[in-house]
Amino acid sequence: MGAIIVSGLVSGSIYALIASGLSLVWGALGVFNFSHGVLLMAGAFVAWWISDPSGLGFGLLTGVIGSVLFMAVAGAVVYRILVRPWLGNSNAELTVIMTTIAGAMFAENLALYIFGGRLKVLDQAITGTVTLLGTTIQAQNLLVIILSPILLGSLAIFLKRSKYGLAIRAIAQNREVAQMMGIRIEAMYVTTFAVSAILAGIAGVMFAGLFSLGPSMGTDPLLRAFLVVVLGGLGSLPGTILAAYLIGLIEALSSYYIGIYWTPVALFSVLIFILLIRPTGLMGREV
Amino acid sequence: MRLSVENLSAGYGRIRVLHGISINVDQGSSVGLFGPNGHGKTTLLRSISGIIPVEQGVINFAGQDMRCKSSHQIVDAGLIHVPQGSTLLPRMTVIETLTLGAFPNHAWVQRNNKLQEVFDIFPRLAERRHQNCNTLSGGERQMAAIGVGLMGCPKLLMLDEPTLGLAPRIRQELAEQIGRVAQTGVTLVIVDQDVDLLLKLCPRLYLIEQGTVSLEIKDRDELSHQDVINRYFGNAA
Amino acid sequence: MSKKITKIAVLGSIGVAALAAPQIFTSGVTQNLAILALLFAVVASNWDLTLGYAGIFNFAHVAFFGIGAYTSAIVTIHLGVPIWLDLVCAVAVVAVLSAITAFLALRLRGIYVALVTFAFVQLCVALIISQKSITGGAVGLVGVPDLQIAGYAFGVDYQAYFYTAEALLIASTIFLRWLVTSNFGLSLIALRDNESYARSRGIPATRQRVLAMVLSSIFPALAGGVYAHYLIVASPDIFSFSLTTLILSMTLLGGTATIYGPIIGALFLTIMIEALAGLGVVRFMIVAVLIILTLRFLSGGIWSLGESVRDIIASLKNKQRSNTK
Repeated sequence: MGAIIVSGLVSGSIYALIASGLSLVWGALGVFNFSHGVLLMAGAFVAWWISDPSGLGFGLLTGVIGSVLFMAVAGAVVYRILVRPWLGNSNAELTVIMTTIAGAMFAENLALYIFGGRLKVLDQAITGTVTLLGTTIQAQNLLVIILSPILLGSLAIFLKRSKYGLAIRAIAQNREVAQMMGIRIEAMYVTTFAVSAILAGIAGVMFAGLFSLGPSMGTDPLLRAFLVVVLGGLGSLPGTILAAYLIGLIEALSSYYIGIYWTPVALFSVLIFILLIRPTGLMGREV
Repeated sequence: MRLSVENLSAGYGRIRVLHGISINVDQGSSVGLFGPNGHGKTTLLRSISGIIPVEQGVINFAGQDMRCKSSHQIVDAGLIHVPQGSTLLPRMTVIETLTLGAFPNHAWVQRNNKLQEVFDIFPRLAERRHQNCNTLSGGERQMAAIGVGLMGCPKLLMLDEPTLGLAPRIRQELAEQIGRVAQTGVTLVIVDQDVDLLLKLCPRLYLIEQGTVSLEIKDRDELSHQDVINRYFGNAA
Repeated sequence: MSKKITKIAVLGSIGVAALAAPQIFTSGVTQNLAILALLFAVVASNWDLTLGYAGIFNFAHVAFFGIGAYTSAIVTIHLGVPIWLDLVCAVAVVAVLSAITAFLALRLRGIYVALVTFAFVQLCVALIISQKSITGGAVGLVGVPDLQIAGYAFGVDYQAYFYTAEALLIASTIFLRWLVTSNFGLSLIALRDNESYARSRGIPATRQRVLAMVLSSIFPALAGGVYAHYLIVASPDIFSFSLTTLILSMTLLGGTATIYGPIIGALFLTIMIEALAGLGVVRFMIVAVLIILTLRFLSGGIWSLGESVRDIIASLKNKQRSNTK
């Protein structure tokens, strides 16, 4: 049972990081970023390329730092090219889905082109094993379980206390009032995307350290993230985080008890059930 | 620190609302704008604050041309617009919203002082400081909106229909509070239906009809309320 | 030329082309490409009904194509259902499933429709992979019998499938064009452009959209069945995000809300991807850039290019006419 809970917490942590980014962008800009999965992949690849001997070989720490910086820029670029030209159109929501899908297609094939299809290995930050809840697990797992809530907590504090966090929330609630307060909407949009991308990149680094690294590594986590945001309610950060851990745990439990093949079925059934009772998700608001 | 608007034309897409309107606001001398609905008062404020683009005309504040500036630059320059009937930021608390009002850098450093000032003028906001904005009554929301404007350290504050839809008692309370705001040294431009209110607070008034000024009252002391009503409604009133 | 003569001429030449094409393109490779392009054209143009006309993002659309394929495969292989009847089964199963999905998804708004239909596809994949004995799991279900008429098996040469695919596309297009020009189609457009007004005029929003989703799944289901017979296998790849993206590209590049556009898009993309096979994965990067450019600068897609050309020709003709006066 200990192993199951740990596994669930690890998955939940990663899903929470991914889904928070999606939720943040949705709240502030009202668009859904389908290229979020490739952002995860990009974060992992950049970290790998900087740290691995077959790339630049500067070691993991430099790799992670470089990855974070890269992701901030990547987020801004995604916003500028795939989102901004269509913001303000009446069907922006639908169109941005399509532009970001195209962006994802581009990035995934680019990664395939540059790095090839063979899976790579990203160094773990901490090696070795640890005993937790009666089971022995990789130390990296523990790192993820601890680090993720710290990051999410920082995000929450940022949104609650800092000038720019408040600004991002304000834009999500009433764009015009925010504008009249002197908030620079454009700068905040870029910031939101950058933060979202950084979160995805970190999730990617964690994912790669635990599993593997390949051009389509972002697809499955993204799909899970969709489940999370629908379940938790788009635009609600607490709901998203709650849903992420919930899904992580359900996934771990059902993988153990009813097997890997049936787990997605169980998850989606839960999702459909919840949607029938509460269409806006656990804590979502009316769209 | 004058605001001067000359020959302004603006509107929404193909619909032009303002037809070459001109007003002047001198420092320390509040101005009231009144007139029938839909004739451009709100549009005027929104053109000045940069929310809608201007087709033609000049907007000059404190010696700077405001036309080419973006909304946030206008706020930075000290010209702040308090919008009409606002739902504010529903899921943020009063204190969060007020704090955010001090977003411009020069206001941010003074935000604690300013917050105290706002709470002094609007005690109700102090009472409700940790409540979400969507739990406030209409009058309290209006107070909060004005408070937000104040937090930005404005030199000129434009209020769009502050007493709209409020009960007489609240209206009076708000009128007094607006008066206190003016006493802090902020020049006001107030748009309202309540001509009495405007006469009390503003030495100068403009009647706006069809997107232009149809009557300018340079000094309210020269006229009585009845005169204004006569001019507004015509002698048949 | 009067409009009617033009119309007959166009239809006539399409008919002639359709009859002649399988005789002209005789190489196995081109015929295979053509068949795939035609079947994808059916899927892409039907997606236009919900995407372009109804304005809803139904991510499960290609899944209905896949379910059609799997249904055909399963009922012929496991249940011994006769050929051609299995296609009817495919449509029936897909219709029921699309109705259910529509009911679930369309109670929600905007983005949630996309997400829920997306989740539905994942559910399909999960179910199919888990039921190895019935569906062949990740490998797929092999052994789907050929279509045949009176003992003549279509698999002997490609021509029969070619004609079948063409017939399917023609039937589907007639169906779709009839739909979008009918009151039903108009009501969808009304809902898309101004929902509150449309509702206030008595148009039942959810019902129309559910209908749109179900109707748009019929021909893809048939196409799926034919696809399974043609390939002899039904594999989970059909539900992959890449195929969905590809078909979406066809619809977008061709031009939404036209029905004809996605057909052009399907032909164009299938040919282009094959022609650029030497570039490997770079092809898809090119497709991605094309999509973004199209969405940005050519929102009517390739079809609108054609319309612009037609407009230019018409205005030149007018000029010419007025010059000779």
